[in-house]
Amino acid sequence: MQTPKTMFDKVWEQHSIAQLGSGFELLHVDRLMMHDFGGPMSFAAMNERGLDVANPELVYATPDHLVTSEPGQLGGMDDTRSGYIDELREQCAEKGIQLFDVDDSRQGIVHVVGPELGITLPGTTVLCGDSHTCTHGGVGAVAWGIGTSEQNHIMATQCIIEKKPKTMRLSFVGHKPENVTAKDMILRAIAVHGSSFGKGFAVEYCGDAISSLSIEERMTICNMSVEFGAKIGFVAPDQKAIDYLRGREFAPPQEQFEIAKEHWLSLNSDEHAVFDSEIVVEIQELQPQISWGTNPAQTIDVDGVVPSPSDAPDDDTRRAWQSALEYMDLEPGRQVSEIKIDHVFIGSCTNSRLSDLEAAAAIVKGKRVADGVTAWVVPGSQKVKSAAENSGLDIVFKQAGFDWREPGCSLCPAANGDAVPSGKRCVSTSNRNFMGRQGPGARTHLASPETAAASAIAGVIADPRKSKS
Amino acid sequence: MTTDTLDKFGIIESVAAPLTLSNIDTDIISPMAALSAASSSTVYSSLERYAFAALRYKNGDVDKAIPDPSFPLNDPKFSGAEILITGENFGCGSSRETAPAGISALGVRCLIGTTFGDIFFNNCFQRGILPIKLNKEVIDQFVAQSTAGQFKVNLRDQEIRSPSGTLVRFSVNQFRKDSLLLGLDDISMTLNRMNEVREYQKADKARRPWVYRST
Repeated sequence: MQTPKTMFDKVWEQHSIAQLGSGFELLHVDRLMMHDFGGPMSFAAMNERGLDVANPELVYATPDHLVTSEPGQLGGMDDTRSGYIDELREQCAEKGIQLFDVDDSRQGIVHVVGPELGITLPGTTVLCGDSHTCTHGGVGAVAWGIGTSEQNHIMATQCIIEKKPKTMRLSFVGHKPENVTAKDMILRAIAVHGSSFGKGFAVEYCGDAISSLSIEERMTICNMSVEFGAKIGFVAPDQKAIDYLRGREFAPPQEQFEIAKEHWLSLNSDEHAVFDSEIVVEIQELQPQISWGTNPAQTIDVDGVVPSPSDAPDDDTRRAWQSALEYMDLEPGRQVSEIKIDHVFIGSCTNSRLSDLEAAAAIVKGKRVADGVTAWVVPGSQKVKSAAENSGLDIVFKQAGFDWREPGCSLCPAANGDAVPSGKRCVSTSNRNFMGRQGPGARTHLASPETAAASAIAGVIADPRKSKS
Repeated sequence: MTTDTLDKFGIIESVAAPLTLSNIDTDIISPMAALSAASSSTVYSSLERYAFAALRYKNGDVDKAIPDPSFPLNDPKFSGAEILITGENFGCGSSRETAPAGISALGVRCLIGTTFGDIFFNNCFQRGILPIKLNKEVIDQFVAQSTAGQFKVNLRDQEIRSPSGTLVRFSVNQFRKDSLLLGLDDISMTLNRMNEVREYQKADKARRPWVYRST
């Protein structure tokens, strides 16, 4: 009898081309996704060395990091940023790489665009010079982020050199309470188990609570894998993934799709497959989550209080909490739901898809953003934006006093001219509350779209369950 | 086409600066401001100035650039340090390779810590930086000795001699070690195997035709 295999084992084996010694393998890369920031740096290096692109038809690009989200404006907000986008455009044209340019109806955040266009497929290896590439795991791809040199390597060879990570099964068990979200699930897992428990692992998300999530919600979960140290996180493809992909522009055409579907469903982990690590997260009592500190593990229930360093389990944690409290300008014991906020950002590859915007709109409908709060909605892609506009969500947000902006990464990496000013506090649906992440000195509280929306209305961090009308 | 893009990694003898806060992420190491203010061809030249800005300068202000005395590399005792002793989960977060490149721009060539971010760890080797993982007890001893003199890191023998004269062995993946010692670059190596890659693609196309777009 064959040894039972995990899905990760199967996908890894299917992509292995050669053993390189010391545990390293040469793996095939099915999709290289590029953006406006990492792309030009790689092209410069490639051209300097006189290297050709091995399989341009397996490479896709779209500008997202550096595009402005300024309503009605395309491209970069200054010459430097536009310069990167111009380089991406020129190089993609020269090398025969499919680009979804700033004026293309398919442009958007690379991790929103890949699945949305059916470029990302179950069981494919999808790599991109961005750590949130794990997002693509929501449709069953094995996807991870890489550096510039690795990206150069893929462009030149369509392969990556990688050591096989260990496998982890992260199971969410229990029934998800009403009005808590996928974002709350993954923030909770990180709060309980820390910001590095996935280091060295490829994570398969399992459990009834995962099966019952939509594909977009699964992408939110997978997106945050890297926030607990796992480069790779995915959900095995099921009927939902198949239904999601069918008919998308770059998904296999009808006849091929039926064959592909059989292959995808065969990738599931075998019944008795052994994982190197098993983690179970109970969500029966899950509350909406909010981060208080400067890494995503520093997260508590929205009705909780800011913790005290004197309660830290060890010295390193105490120092980290002290440093976080100082940066965030918070005192221990403070009720989180009383903290006044200045900004709200609904967007990013974590939470900028149509279902995220619908959930936020349901909360703000008929209400007004609190005085002194700047609230933004940045759709994840042009397709998300136009779908939202077709159902009138833009009007709901604008009438409530939100800015309705152009698709891109915007306030998540703050690389595009968008920034939260120093000392200001932002409730953000993005993935990182690192020091300076949303702009030098900016203070970030991570939350779901629902919590962000409720907070925009309340002017303080707010429990979305209380603001549902 | 060049084959050696990195300098060969030799023996390092230097003081080691302790930067032991946990979870120092790549946004701190290489803030986005440095990256988006420069073009793709000039970005590497601005990395030195911006590296660790949030910890290194008062209020993280790069323009005023007033050194924050609590940042170890601002301490004269550690000036010119080629070794950093790092805290848990160092280099977590964004995949930006400008993080190890920025560290390298500060003259640092070796990191000694308990754990590192996975993507960052790989990127270090691409930038000729040796990240060494050791257990917490050893790290604590190194921190305690950091003001006592020079450390000597010998990659070939996989040994660190601390200022007190203690020898500590470390493990390093043979593949990565060879690449560092020879200054070898992954691309040249894989380009020599492109026939295997093309064979794989041919067979794979029969198995998974939907993966390959017809051009």
